[in-house]
Amino acid sequence: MSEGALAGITVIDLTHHIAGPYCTKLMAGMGAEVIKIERPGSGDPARSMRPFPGDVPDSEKSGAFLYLNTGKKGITLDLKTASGVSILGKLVKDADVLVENFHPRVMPGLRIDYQALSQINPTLVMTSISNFGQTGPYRDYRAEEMTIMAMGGFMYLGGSPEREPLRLGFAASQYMGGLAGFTATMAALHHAEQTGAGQHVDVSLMECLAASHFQAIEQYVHTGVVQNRNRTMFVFPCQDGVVQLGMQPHHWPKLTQMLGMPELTDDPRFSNTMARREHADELESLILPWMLQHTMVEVYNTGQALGLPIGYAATSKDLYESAQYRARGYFVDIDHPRAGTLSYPGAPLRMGELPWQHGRAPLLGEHNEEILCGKLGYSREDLIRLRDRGVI
Amino acid sequence: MTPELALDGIRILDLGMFWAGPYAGGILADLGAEVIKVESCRRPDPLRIQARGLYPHGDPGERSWNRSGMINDRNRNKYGITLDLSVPHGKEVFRRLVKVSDVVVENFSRRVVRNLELEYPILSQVNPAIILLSLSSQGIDGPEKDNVSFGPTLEQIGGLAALTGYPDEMSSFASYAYPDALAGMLGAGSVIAALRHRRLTGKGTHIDLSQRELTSCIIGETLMDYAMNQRVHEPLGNRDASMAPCGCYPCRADDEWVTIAVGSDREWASLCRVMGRADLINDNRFANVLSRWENQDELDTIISDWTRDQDHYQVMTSLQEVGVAAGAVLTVAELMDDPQMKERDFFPVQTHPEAGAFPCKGKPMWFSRTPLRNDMPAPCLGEHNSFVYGTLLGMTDQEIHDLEEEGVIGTMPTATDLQFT
Repeated sequence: MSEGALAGITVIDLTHHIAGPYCTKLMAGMGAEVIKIERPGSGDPARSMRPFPGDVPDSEKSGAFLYLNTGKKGITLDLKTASGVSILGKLVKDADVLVENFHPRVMPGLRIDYQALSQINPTLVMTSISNFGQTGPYRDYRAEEMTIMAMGGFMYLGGSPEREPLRLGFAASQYMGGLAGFTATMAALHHAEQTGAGQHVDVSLMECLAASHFQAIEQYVHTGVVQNRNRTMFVFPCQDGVVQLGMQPHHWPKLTQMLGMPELTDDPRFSNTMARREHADELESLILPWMLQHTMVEVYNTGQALGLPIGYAATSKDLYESAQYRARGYFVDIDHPRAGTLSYPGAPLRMGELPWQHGRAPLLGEHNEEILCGKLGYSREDLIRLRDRGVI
Repeated sequence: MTPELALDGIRILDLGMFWAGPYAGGILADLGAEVIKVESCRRPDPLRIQARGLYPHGDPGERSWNRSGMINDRNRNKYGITLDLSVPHGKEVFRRLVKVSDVVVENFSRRVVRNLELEYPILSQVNPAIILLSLSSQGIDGPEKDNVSFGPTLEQIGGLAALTGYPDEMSSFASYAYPDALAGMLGAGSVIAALRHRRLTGKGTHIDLSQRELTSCIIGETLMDYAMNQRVHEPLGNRDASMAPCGCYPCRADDEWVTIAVGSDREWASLCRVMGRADLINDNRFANVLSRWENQDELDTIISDWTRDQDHYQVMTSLQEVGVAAGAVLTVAELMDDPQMKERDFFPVQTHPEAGAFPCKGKPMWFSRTPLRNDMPAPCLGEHNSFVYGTLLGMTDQEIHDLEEEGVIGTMPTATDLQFT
């Protein structure tokens, strides 16, 4: 049994793509035994997701799949067969948690919804992550990440006021859905371990974004003002990228110091926040030459040494080369029989002395024998028959 | 019968400021833990003072620090005390609180943690079972641990900003403070996991969550392209790497938009029929995945001509009916009035003694057996000093009075011009 806050917990993982797998990846990282169930033949559709080494598609070498499924065991089951559902039932009987992120019709359609599974195991915590939730007029709507960003109110706030709204360039709602699924499951598990009573948890990606607004909701509720896109202040190109300053009034003298322009400190055009906004164009033209002479990381390090809250638009390369990330050991090498050894983004947090579990992602059906024979008591011959009939 | 609460019986000292810490504390409070928001009169949660004008009807009222919209939205279901942790007497009282609590949540800079003596070795000596959740910009160690940051700069250094932008412009990123929301959400769950570990072993733990690292975790698949191929991704605007059409299209009203994403030939055919352009289904320019990708400029023009005559909800519903991923770009006003949000009852109403009644952001999780609570408004500054010091710590009225006289506790801020860092 592994170490970790979730040592001894068994998770049945029916998830695919990003949101669900990220949720169960966190559980595996904390020491839970996560049994990922994929359909025989093609497996999790994420196995077709880029990137691939050398851009050559290979269902055992998808960088997205490998990253999102670290630490899990993998079996195959065709849940459209009675045998598949029966095997799932046996697994659920001794499990603590089940996570799925299908469209809400799927689990009831397969007759493995919470009502059915809780009959088998009343202490089971079942977590369902979906685009819009298990109920409501949009329940069966189709969505890509951009769709959720639009409907969650994020997109209206992104980009320039003079043109179309801009989406975020990463899977914001799906990862937040994974985190919300994780936290909600922890709460339900906490309750179940003490009372013996499981329950159904329902996470909506649209609500994940609606809950993540910084101030737009409060602003509208209290003042009636609808937040709109506006020009971001204090973003500057430099030699090799872009930096941004988070300016508060007391930072101004430090900025002029960094620029080597002390004469600007008391210049009336820039003496306070309002004035700086009013004369933004002039200010930018004064700052730009200095910025263009330095790299992002130079500006970042110089400014931070003076106490300026500066950031730089780090690319993947910058992150792999970050001094802070290297010191923290953030990236970890994980070996894989088909993909080889690669440097993966590592743990999202440290939990005291408990080591994060960085095991590799499973090959398709890799643990069929271990789980079906070892855990459930099927014989090798049973496995052959199940395979012949396409159940596994 | 009162509904069961998932985290009943857990006591949490929430020293969080701004968003990350308070969000973690807020999730735990909504789940039923007893969360005590700890501020000082000398330095309350800065959002009480720098409220950006977000007061009810824009009116700060008599005690503006109790009417800040962002404070009240983020701190529902919490008790509130004040305690000056910068003075010896305050530190001593804090340790008495730590002795009778399960969890401490903080998102201070590491410098402030050192000054207030909130490091894990100190707290765990007071209470070996204490769980400390530290949400910091870059972690508790490393060469950049004392760097200062905000939401926008964290979005930059975590890797989100470089991936977002119109293809023809310098990368631009609205300030969502997304790393704060991520950290608050994961922080809450990790606290509950740590509570399990404590149940099994009797030991507390220190959770060290770097917002920057968590932010990089959510672009993991992009980072893997660098690990595998040394590839750096450029922003695609609203386009997709392979799907077309995929974009944001103008609708009838000013600044009203709808997003449409078509992944398959079937969806393409459905879109054409709804647009009344069945003639385009087998048009050479658009008939398959590759040709749609190559001709998407033309495609976007055709689609815009169609969406321009309709409102965004109309486009969304007519396309969703035929299985096409269309989403209206909602303003915050529309979001709060949206049929799905209303059906799900996502914006619980808070009735606050000094700010009145108003809807708040819900938490994105629903439980069939242990629903989230909504029975306490956000605390006024120092509102529960008597309850916590008198009832929980057993102090006498005289002791509490002495603390007030010394200025260690109180109900009014003494700082007027707060700096964020």
